[in-house]
Amino acid sequence: MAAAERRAKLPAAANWIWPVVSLVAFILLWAVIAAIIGSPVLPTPAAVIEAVRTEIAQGYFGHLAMTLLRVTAAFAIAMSVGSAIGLALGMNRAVDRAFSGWLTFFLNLPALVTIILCYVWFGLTEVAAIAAVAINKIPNVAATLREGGRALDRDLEEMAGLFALSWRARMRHVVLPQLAPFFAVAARNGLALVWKIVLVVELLGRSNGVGYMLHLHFQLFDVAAILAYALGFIVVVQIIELAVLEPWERNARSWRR
Amino acid sequence: MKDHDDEDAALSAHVRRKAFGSAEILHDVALQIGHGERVAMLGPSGCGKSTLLAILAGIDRDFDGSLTRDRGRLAMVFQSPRLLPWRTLTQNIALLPDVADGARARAALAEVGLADHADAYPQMVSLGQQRRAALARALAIDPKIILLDEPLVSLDPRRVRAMLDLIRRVFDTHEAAALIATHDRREALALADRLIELGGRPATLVSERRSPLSRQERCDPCAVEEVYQAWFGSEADTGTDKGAGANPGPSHGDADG
Repeated sequence: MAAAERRAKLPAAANWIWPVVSLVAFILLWAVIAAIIGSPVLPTPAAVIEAVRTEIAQGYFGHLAMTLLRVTAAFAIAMSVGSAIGLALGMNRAVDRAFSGWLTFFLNLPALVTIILCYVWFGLTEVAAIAAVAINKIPNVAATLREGGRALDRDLEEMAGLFALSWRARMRHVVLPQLAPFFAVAARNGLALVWKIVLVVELLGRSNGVGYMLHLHFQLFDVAAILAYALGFIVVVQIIELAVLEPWERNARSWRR
Repeated sequence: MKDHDDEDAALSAHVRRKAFGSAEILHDVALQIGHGERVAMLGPSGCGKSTLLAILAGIDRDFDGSLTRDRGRLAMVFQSPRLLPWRTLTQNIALLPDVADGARARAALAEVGLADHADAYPQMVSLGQQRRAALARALAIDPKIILLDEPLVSLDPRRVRAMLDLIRRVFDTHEAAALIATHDRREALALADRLIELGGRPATLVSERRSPLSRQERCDPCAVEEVYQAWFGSEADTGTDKGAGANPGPSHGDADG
């Protein structure tokens, strides 16, 4: 019985083992190279952990939280505004013709330009920072959701009309489930992009957050501290991925054969 | 000319012209269905039956002519079942504003023999079962008139028989008027009080006959065959009725097990 149990558990365990082995191998490689070079420019993993401990005493989690807060706000704004714009473009051909040029323009506007303009126009404020990040992300969300709007099933729309579904019921049961894969793509790409832009925004015009701390430690050439913040950052993104995005996607896919 | 009749009819329509671009599909088709009456609309595949059904259902309003419908709900069973793949069969029915109740949805599914599949997703059941679920959905809103688009197409012969019996049974219990679009004349005789036939290009009404068979008599395949031979026998020999009874009909893209 114990043997059978072990065998049953093996595949699940194997799924976990390989990423862990691969990660350990990476850290070992890093440790070996760092030991060979022996310079503060490439600290060892142990030195980075030590840096995390010293930074914790100086508000490490506060800075992470600040960044996380900005990411959440910018992400929420970008997803809602971007989806609304994208769906309007995808579901209405006249709107698409009128504004698809604008979308292309904003898609190709460099992030740095938006950030600088926001700070120049609105001052070095929190609102300007979050707006700059959101404006960078909105065109991507809109472009993705526009495809979703175009792909909506006309047969199901007719069915919903025939059975007199309310606007709310149509959205909830007919439209949004069809858009779920597009939301997932927009959310995943969005999160990655928003994280990175938030750091730039913090670097240029904020006095807290991970981006600000990276800037500070860059001036001091403290690579161990820079890697310490990068590490915390990666861990937070991974947690969001595993705890939020993956379960949600799994749930949205459950009806498939 | 028939104002009086119009008021008595469950549905009354006169399509003077329906075209897609420059291609005229329907020309001068007048149709009335009395309360509780069962009418079969015959015609070769692709002649415009589905177009006419969409007009009668109020889905397609882009036509020249008039459409009056008695107060009371209209339901439709589409040729492809048009169930929401991300909702279970029960949810598919319960989300209609006129049902809004899981117990009623389950009762409707039980009526068409799907009690065991009530919590399955559409993709997990066969096409025949999806059709039955679509029929249950139509019946669940307690319609005054129900439109069926090729309800038996792409089912294997054994299932055709079962579906025929089921449709007759639910017609008897729910006293709704019905319009059944089909290319199969035997099927039409087995189901309807009156047969109308569309033909030509653009399609017009080429014939209209009352079935000599009572609702009881048409359950008997031999009686149906007799009328079929008397009405269409010679035509079938010359090949104009090719495929109407001999083969199950052209296969459609949505066909599966």
